[in-house]
Amino acid sequence: MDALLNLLESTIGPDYARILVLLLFFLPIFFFAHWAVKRGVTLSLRPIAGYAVLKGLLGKSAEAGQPVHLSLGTSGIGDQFTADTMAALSVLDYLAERGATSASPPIVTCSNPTTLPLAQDLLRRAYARQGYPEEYDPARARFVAPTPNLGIGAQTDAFAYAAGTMRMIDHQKLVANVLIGHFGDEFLLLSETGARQNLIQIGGTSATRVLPFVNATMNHPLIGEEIYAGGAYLSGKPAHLSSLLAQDIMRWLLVGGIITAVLLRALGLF
Amino acid sequence: MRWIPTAIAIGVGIVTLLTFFFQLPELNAIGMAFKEWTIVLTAFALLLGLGNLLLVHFQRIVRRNESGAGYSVIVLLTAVAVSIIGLLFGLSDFPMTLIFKYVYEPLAGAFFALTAFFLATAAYRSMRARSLETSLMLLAALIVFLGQTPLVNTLTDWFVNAKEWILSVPSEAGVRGILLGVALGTIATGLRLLVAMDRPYSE
Repeated sequence: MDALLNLLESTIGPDYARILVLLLFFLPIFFFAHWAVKRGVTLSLRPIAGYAVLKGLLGKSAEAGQPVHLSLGTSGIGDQFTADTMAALSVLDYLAERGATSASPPIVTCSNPTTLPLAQDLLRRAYARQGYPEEYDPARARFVAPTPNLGIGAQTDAFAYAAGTMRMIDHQKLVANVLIGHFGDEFLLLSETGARQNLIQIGGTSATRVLPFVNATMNHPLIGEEIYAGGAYLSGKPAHLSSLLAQDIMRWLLVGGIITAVLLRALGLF
Repeated sequence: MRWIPTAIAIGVGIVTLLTFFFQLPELNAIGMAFKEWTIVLTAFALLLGLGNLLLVHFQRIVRRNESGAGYSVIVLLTAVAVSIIGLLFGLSDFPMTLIFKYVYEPLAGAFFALTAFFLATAAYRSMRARSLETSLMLLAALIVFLGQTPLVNTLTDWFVNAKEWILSVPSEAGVRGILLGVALGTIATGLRLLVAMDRPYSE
């Protein structure tokens, strides 16, 4: 391992070498987990209240005749927070599939233009699978406002998106406010508006500086990595279950490695 | 023909990943081309977004199925006006700079100021000691708060030391744990896309 690390460090630099080693270490575990799940290994998932409530939301939405609002966050596809957007899209996949047969399909808002075509496509495909392609309304997925980055000193926070979405949350009769993806300070504006409307609030993000807002304003917060587990918890797709298993194996290996390193350092052997 | 988008996604993903790690001139040229295509695609997506924005607000005005049709008229007029000004004069020149400096930035600043009030109500809601976790959070917040108060610090340095310990030990440990989990989640999501186990772009 040391020889490989030294070789990589001398060719691509120490930081990239560490990332590459972590990736190469993760790969066999990832494929092993996929193979195990395909072979029928069942996972016992610890309960996450947010996803359990999310499963019952569309029933409440149909009863009340009021939609669920889902925000996909402010990041898009192709930036450094793509994984957060993919997590939000997994939730949308679930809501779209069940909402397509309902009189109140979810309303989706986004701030990044690259997420809009994906959101619209997920909704369209859900209607097509249910046999009602003509019922699809492209305006259910809404591009509210982009985050300006014009290089002329303009602020880059997504406050324009927050302003438009807050108005929608205030005026539209909703049963729940679901905020999943990458957010900045605008998360507080959106979630507090939902809290004042007494909506069921489910949300999470990977940004640690926003997590206090998540914990303070959400009925069912999803903390950090929990947002990536949506596909496994909601749809139970083998690919998502296996990646969850791979993450857990890696986590235990890392925890074991950290404890071993601490003990070795304490004993003066490392 | 369903394999075509999958093959393209895998190919582009692998080349982009390789250009991230290795500096090879041939590979970098391809990677740079992919990045330029991404910018072009994002620009087209922005046009789609503008179309969607206009459609939603136009429907609101025509159908009158939601309140606030007046605001939608303002949105449509503003979108058209700013688009025309941007096309005629460019983004980095007068009068676009004027619009952003004297209209957008003050509005964004005003919105940013709102977060202080939202934070107060959110803190009040979360700090009601409903469970052991929120009680601990309340206690930690109180200690950190008192540790930053000059008057208290002139009387005793206990709160400053306690604040430093809370921020550098339990809080830092929690943040690092979360970041570790997020990193693993991000890698797993990336690998799912890279090996086409997850295909949001096709059935």
